[in-house]
Amino acid sequence: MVNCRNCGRANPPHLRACQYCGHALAVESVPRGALRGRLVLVRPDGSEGGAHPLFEGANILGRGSGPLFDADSFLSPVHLRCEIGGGRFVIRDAGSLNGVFLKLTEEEPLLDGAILRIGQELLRFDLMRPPKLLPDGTEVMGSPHVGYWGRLTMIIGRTQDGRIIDGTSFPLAGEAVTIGRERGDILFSEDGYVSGQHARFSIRQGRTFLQDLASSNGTYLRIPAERVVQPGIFLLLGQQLFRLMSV
Amino acid sequence: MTLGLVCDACDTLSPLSATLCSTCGAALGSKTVPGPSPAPRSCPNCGSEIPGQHRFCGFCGARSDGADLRPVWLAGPSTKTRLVLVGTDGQDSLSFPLTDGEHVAGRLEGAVMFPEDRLLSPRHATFVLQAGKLWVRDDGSHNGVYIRLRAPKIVPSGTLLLIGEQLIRVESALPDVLPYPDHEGTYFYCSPHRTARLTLVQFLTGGDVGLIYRSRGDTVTIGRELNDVNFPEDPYISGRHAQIVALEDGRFQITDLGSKNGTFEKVPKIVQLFSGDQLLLGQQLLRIELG
Repeated sequence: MVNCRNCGRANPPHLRACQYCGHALAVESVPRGALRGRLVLVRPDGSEGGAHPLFEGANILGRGSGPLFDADSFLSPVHLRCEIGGGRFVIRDAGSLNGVFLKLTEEEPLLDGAILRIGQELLRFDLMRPPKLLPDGTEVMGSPHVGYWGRLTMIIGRTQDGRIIDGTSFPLAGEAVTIGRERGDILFSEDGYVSGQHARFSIRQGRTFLQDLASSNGTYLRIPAERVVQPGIFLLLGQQLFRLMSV
Repeated sequence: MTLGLVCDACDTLSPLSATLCSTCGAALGSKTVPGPSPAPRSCPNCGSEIPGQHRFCGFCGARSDGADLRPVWLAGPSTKTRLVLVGTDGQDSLSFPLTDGEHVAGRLEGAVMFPEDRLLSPRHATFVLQAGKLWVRDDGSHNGVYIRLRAPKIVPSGTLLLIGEQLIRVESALPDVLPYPDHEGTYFYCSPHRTARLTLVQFLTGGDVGLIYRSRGDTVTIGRELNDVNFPEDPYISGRHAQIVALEDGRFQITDLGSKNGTFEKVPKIVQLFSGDQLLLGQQLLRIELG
């Protein structure tokens, strides 16, 4: 059994979080190398908050890893893994519920099933393919398919059994589709955190891309598995924004 | 009625300006038929001569290749109950007289056959005339049979509507899922909570979902402009076309707002038809006349 560091009660060793209070249970103690970097909290007004040290080797972070993270109920107990070695920073989603989001700085390839955060919205991008006939030669009837290549869907919930609930959905056609609060092809007029014109989805030579249009609050893409990053990047973890700095 | 050139090889209608058949590529308007052509036959329905390579009688429209010898259209005036095909110009074109019994409609089967309409299943539906009453039965077609609303109608959640060129399913919005922690005590992050009363799902050619619209209010209007949901590119939709109202019992009232082309509802498995009803089977608009 493992005793919770927060409430002291005993938990079976296979649990990652205390079954009584939800606090992260002791993660394997990683031998610590030299200080290599910091994860610095960026407050909503843009000023810097506290910092969490990052060491050579594997750094595992989540709710319970320290005062910067403890109060965020959207963080998993084991949320992010940051490996530092030979001057390289590798960010990995450590099996979190809500994911690790990277703030876009330049145009980014957009893959089928990509998850993004814009303002307060959680969105999924799905590739769409040209219509096909059924095996018996019948064409499936529907609204005109004007060359749609993708669909942007708002994610509005998750059922108890883990099924994602889709909300409003927009098909994407043409070379580029702009989204924003006031201007663009798709408007999120109810979200005050979306900029007037915020981001652009585009397709070139059959490949799809996402670009932030100098929005105030940024466009964030969920890291599918792991990613080599440069110090200076911004990460959205749970409800909080952090900046990765090297030392 | 469309004017054009009928291909001698496959009977496809091509534009008057075409020189090659759009379907099989055979030369149009030329009489150089390669090889020996089959001998002319006489029509089993009206006795007119049919050139050997033709599948249908050019005078009465009966099928002449032996597959189905029943007359197809313009038959004798023995019955007044008929299906009238309405052309894209709104004018009556062909008419299909119905006698007591079953009449199959489809792309490859039946007396009411439209070989060029890919939206029809090979066997699509059956018209059943019995003691002066007419029904249409969907024979498990993929795209279904649609009937034009003649009055406001109350329909269940999940009903498919055709509005202009748009295929739209009306659904009750899912009940709201309240936030709850997962087994590790973590809450799921998602877009902000916005309660909806009804959902419209647009289906595209090929079956993909296109637009999903969630309405916070009980009433949604659909049309080309100035509605809750607009399809400005749709030439067949009226400015204000249809209205959908979510009722307290979870059903919906559908009202056509005097649109030019009508609002159509997908019929369940079988439905009784009355004089003046309009049906859409694939791209074919059929008006019902009961004698």
